[in-house]
Amino acid sequence: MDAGRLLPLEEAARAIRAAFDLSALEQLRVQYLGKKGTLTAALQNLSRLQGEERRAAGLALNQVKSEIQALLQSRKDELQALALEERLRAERLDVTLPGRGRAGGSMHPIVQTLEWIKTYFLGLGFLPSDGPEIEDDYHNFEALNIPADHPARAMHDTFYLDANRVLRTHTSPVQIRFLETHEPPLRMIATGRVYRRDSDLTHTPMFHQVEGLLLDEQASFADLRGLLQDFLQAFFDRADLPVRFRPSYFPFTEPSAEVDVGCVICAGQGCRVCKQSGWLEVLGCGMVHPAVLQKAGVDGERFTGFAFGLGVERLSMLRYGVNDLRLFFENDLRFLKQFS
Amino acid sequence: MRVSIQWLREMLDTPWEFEEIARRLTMGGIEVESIEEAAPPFGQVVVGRVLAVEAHPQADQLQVAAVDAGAGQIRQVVCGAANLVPEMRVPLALPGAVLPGDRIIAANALRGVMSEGMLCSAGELGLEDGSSGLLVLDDDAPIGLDLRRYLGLDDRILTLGITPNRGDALSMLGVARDLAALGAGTLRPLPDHDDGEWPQVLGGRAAFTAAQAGLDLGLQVLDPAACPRYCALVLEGFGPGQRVPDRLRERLRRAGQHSVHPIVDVMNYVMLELGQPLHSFDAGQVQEGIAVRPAAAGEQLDALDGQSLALEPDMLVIADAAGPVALAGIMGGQRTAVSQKTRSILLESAFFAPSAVQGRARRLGLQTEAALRYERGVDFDLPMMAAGRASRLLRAILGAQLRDGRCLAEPAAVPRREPILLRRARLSRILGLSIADGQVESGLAHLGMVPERTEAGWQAMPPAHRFDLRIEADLIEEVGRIYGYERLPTHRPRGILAPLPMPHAPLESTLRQSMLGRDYHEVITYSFISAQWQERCSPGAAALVLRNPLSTDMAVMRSSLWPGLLQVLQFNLKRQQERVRIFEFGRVFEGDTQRQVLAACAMGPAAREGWADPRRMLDFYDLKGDVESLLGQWPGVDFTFTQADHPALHPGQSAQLLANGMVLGSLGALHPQLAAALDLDGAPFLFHLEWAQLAGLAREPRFRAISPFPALRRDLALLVPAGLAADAVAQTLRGAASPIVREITLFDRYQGEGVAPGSYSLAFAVVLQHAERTLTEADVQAELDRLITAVQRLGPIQLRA
Repeated sequence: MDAGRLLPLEEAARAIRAAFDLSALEQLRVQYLGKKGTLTAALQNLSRLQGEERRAAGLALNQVKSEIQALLQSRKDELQALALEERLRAERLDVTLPGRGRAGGSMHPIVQTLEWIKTYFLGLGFLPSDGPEIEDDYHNFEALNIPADHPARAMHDTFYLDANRVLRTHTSPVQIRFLETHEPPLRMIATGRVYRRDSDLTHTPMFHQVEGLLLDEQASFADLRGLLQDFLQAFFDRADLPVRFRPSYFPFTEPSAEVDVGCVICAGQGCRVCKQSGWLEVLGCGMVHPAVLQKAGVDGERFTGFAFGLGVERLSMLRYGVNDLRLFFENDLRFLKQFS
Repeated sequence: MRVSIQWLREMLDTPWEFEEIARRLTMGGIEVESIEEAAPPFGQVVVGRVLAVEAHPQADQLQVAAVDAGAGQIRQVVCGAANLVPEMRVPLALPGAVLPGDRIIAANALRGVMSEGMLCSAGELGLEDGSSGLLVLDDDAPIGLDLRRYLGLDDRILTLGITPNRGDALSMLGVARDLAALGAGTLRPLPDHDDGEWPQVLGGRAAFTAAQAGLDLGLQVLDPAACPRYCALVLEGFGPGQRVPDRLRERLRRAGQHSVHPIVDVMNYVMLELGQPLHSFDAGQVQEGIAVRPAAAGEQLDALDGQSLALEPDMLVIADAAGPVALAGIMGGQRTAVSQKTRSILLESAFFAPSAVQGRARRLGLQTEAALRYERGVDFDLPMMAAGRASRLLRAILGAQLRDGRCLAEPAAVPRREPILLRRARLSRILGLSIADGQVESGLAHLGMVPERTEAGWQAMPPAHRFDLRIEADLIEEVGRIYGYERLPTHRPRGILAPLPMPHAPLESTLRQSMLGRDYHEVITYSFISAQWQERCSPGAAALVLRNPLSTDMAVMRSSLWPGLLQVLQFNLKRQQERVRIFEFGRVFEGDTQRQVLAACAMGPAAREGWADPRRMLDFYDLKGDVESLLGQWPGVDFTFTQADHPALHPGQSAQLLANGMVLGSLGALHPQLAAALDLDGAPFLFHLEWAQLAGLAREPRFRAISPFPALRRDLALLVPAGLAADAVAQTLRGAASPIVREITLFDRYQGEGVAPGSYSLAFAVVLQHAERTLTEADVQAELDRLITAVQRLGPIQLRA
C-alpha cells in the first residue's frame, strides 16, 4: 500500500503551511491526527494488510505521521511567534512620554551647604551643637570678650529685644554654651541663623553661619591651618586651591586670622567678585582667647584650641555661582527648583 | 583709612613698590581693601596765571581771560567760572589736552571769541565729584609747571580696613611704623614741631586747679581719670581769607577729607599724620572757667554738625561758664566753632581714656574721626608732640603766634603699662613652631619693645601706642605676624577618637528628604514678621517685639512659620507659579521658648500637570496624606487627628495631631478671611509639626512573626450616622479585634443615593490570619460578629446589605 496514496503528504504540508492561526492549525491536527483523523484511520486500516506489506505500510504511515507532527509543531511555533510579535507590536508604548506622578522637591541651597559642611566636620569627630537664636548679652558679647561699649560691638549691628536680650549676631555664643556643658578635650560644630541690622545689596538682616571649636592639650595654630585648608580644598573640590591666612582681629581669638582662598571665579587672575585681588575672604578663625577660656572655667594653661566661623551665604554663592545674595531669601520657586 | 603712597614715603624710607607695600600690609593684618589712583589720567594741563579778565562781547555768562601759560606764552581763554579774577593761579588745559571723560581740549572759537585752552575746576580734572568754580592754586605755584607734577598726582591711595584693636594704625605715622616693623625699611624723623617753645608745662595733681594752671581761660580738669592729659595752646593772629597750601589740601583730599577752614584743615592734617585728634575752639567765643568734667544731667550741646545732643552724666565734656563747648573726644560745639571771624584759638590736644569715650558716640548716633581714634586708644604720649606739630604748622602756614601753652597732667591716671611675659614654650605650642630666640627678639624690637630675657622666655613692655597688647597671647600673635603667617607651619590636627552619639530617632534631614519626596521645595524666610500677621496666625501668643526693627514688616519674632510661608506663596503666585508646595524648618519664638518647627504650605493642582494624570485641585486629604507619610518615620507611635479650631484655619477643615497626649501639630485650610487678606484666589493648605517633640518619640520598629497560613479578607460595609467620625468607627473596630485580625483598612466612604439621609456608608477590609493554623469559616464569622457588636455600641450603626 502506498502511503502517499493514503495520505497526500504534500497536500497536508501545504494546508499546514497555509493555516493562518492556531485554531485553524488545531483543526488540521484533528483532521489528520485526531481520533477520527485521516492518518489515524489509515493506521487502523493497516490491520487489513499482512506481513511485509503491512510492515512497509506501517513504516511509511508512521513516517508520514511524524512528518506531519513536525510540520504542525513548526507551524505552531511560527504562529505563536507571530502572535507574540503581533501582541508586542500592539502593546508598544511611546516610552518617551513622561512618567506618572512625578515628584521631587528641592533642598534650599543654603541648607545644602550647611549640611555639607556639617557632615564634613562630623566625619572628623566634631559634635553637632546648637544654641538659642535669641541670646542674652552675656553669651553673645560679654563671654566672648566683647564688653559693653567695646568698639568691636560696632562690628555687629545688633537687633535688641530689650536691654539684655538680642538676636544673636554670630554663632560664636554656641562656643560658650558648649563649654558650659562639656569638658575638654572637645570638638564642636554648630550651624544656624544669625542676625544683623543691615540690609542692602550685600547684606541681609538674617544669614547663616557655621561655628567650629576644638580644645585639647596640643592644638596649635598649625592644626587650625591644616584643618581649614583641607576643608576649603574639599569644599571647593580643588586639591590645589590656594589658601592663605592673614592676621586679623576677633575679640574672642588671639592670635586671629582671616582666611582667603584663591578666587574660584577667575582662578586668581582678578575679577569683579574678588575685587581684582585674586583672593576671596571666606572665614575668620583663631586660637581661643585666654579670657574666653577663663570666663568659661577652662584651664587655659592645660587646654588650648581654636575656633572658626564662616558665612554660609557667601560660600553658597561661590559654590553655585549665585550672583545676588537676596535670591536666597526671596524663595522664588524658579530659583529653588534649580537646586533639586 | 586712606593712605597716599607719596605721603607714606615721606615718613618711611622703603624700597618696596606700592604693590609690595599693599601685599605686606594685608598679610601683616592691615587689610588693603582697594587701591586707586590719586587722579584719573590726563595731561597737558599746566599752572596758569590769570593776567586780565574781560567781558565776553557776545555772552553775559562768559569772560575772556589772558592767561600766562609759562615760557612767555600768553593764551586767550574763554571761561564761564564765577570765581575767575585777575592774578589767580589756576589749572590751564592746553589745546590737545585730554581730560577725564575723554574730553578733548582744542583751540576753537566760543561765541565768536577764540579760546586757546580751558581753565579747569577740580571736578573737570576728576579730583573731586562735582565742584564749583575754578581750582584755585597757591600764589607761588610755578607758572607753566605741569599740574600733575605740581600736585604730585601720580600717586596711589590705599584704602585700609583697620580692625578695632589697631587704633594705632589710624594715622600715616602708625601705618608707616607698622610697615617698618614688617621689614619695609626705616621711619624717617618725625615732622617739624614746636618742642619746648611752650611757656610752661605743668604736671602733677596740683596742676588741676585753675589758679595754678595760670591760663587766662582758667582751665581745669575735674575728672583726671577720664582725662589724664590735657594740652591747651592759645594761638592768635588768624584772619579771614586765609588758606592752607595746595600740598596740604591735596593730602586731605586723598585722605578723603574736604577742606573746611584753614585752622580745621590743619587740625585734621595733624590727626591724619600722627593719629592725635585735635580740636580748636574760637578763643573769642570761649568764656572763663574752662573745665573738663562729666556732663550734668539734662545738659545739651549744640554740636558742630547742627544736631542738639542730649548729654548724659557718663559723658565727658569741655565746658566753660556758659555750659558745654565740646563732647570730649567726640565732637565740638557750634558756639565756639572756628569761623571766618576767628582771630585766636584755644587748641586742645588731649588724652581721653578709651573708657571715657567708648560707646558714647554710638549712643548719640555720631561717627567722628576723633571718636574712632579715642575709642580704640590714642598714644598717651602723643598729645604734647601733636600740639607742637599743629602749632608749628599754624605759625608757618597761617602766620599765627603762640601765646600760651600748658599741659595739665595727672601722672597717676595715665595708663600704666605692665610688662608682658612671653614664654618660649607657650609660643611654640600656640604657633606650632619653634622660632629662634633672636628672631623673636628682633620681632619685638621692630614693634618698639625692648624684650628682656627671663628664664622661661622674655618680658617686654608694650609701646604706648599699642593699646591692644596686654597679655601673652597678644605678643604671640605679634611674633607670628612679624614672622609672617605665610611662613607658619601647617599640619593636620591629632585627636582622641571619641565616638559621637548616634541618634536612634529620625533626624531633621530624614524628614527633609521625605518632604522632598512629596514634591515640596524648601524655603528660608526671615524670623521676624509683621505684628499684623503674627496676630493673625498666633493671636494671644506672648509675642517678642524687636526694639529696633528694620521695618514694620520685620518687627516681631514669629510664633508660627505660616506667615512667612504665606508670603512666599503670594510672591510665587504673583510670578505665575500655579502650583506652590513649600516647607521650612525653623524656629518659632514665644515667651521664653524657641522651638524648632517644620511647617508647609501647598496650593494649586494636586499633582504636576501631565498627559496621564487627571487634573485635580489639592484638598485637605492630600495634605493629610503628606503629614501621615512623614509620620511613617515613627512606626511604633499611635498618632491621632482630631477636629480642632485654629484661628488661622477654616473651622471645618482643620485638625490637630496628637500622640501620647501631646499636641504635635496642626493642619488645615487657611481661613477664607485670611486668604482674602492675601488676595488669594482660593485657600492654601498648611500644616506644622512640633519637631522637638516628634524627635523625642521612640521609633525603633519591632519584628513580629509572619504567619505561614493563608489570610482571608472580609469586607464590612457599615451605615453610620452622620455625626459619628469615621476614625471613631475605625478605632473601635481595631480596639475590639482579636489577634487573628491582621489589619482593618477603610477602603470606601459613600454618601448619597441608596444611603438614608443623615447617615453614610463606610466600607472596611478586614484581613484575618492565624499565626498557628488555617482559619475556619466559623472563626471568621465569630470575629466579624464581635466587631459588629462592638461597633454598634457606638450608636445606631447597621450592617449594609
